[in-house]
Amino acid sequence: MGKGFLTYATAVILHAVANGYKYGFDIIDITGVPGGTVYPALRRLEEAGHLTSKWEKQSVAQAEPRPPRKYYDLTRTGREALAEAVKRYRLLEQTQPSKQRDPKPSRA
Amino acid sequence: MSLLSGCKRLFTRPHLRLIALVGVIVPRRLRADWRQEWEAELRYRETQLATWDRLDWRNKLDLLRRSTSAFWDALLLQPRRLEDEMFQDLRYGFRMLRKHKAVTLVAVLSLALGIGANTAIFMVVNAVLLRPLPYPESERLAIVASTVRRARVEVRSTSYPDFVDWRDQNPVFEQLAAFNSVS
Repeated sequence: MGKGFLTYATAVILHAVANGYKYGFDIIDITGVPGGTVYPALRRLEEAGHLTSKWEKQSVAQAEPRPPRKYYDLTRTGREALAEAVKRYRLLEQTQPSKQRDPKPSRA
Repeated sequence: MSLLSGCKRLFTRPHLRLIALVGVIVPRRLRADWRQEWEAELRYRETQLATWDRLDWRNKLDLLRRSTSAFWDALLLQPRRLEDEMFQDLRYGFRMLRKHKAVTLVAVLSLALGIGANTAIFMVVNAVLLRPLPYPESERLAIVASTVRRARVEVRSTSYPDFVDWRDQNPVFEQLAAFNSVS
């Protein structure tokens, strides 16, 4: 991802992370963007320095039991890029609610 | 019985089997993390659905549908495989060249001679044969020559009066020009 503006889909994904949807599948659910687009975009954003990724705590995962999930967070440059994207795509702010609590999906 | 149990295993949690299968094409360096990321999400979602008693065939099918997206993710990681392997091969190549200096010198000299000779020959061929004449529609240019019938010889030079007659009386050429070459 070189210098330049973000595409709309990438901006939507960045906006979802900013709104508290930090896990891949949550981002897929809230944005409606397919997984084959979301995950490559997350990797590109991480390479560009807009996102950082971490694994959740082992204790949380072991309680279930399952492997730890990866979650993403915005960096300072990510916040700046998102602010520019919001100016460019005016309706972006209205597309998603902020994450209040874990939603109960009607489907997987 | 082992075949049956094998088939049964294959269809138990097919979404996780698919991730394991697709993971084969992910570059080795990234494979473990990639698999964990996808498997963790799928298993988390599976556990949530089971807790809410919603793990019916529709949701299982949806888990499988989600896992198919992993294929595109794995496919888009392929350039990193090429970079990794290419740089590894390049580093190995440089180490070998430094180790065998005599062979390297012979190879470099051979390449230099070959490239130099080819360049020289191409420059000549390009100037003489390939490069068009610096005139518009140069393919329409022609040299007009006269023939001495008795000797059946094509004479490339002609007299000025003949040139004037050709210029004024020919119905074929739009224009005629005379030139004198000095060797």
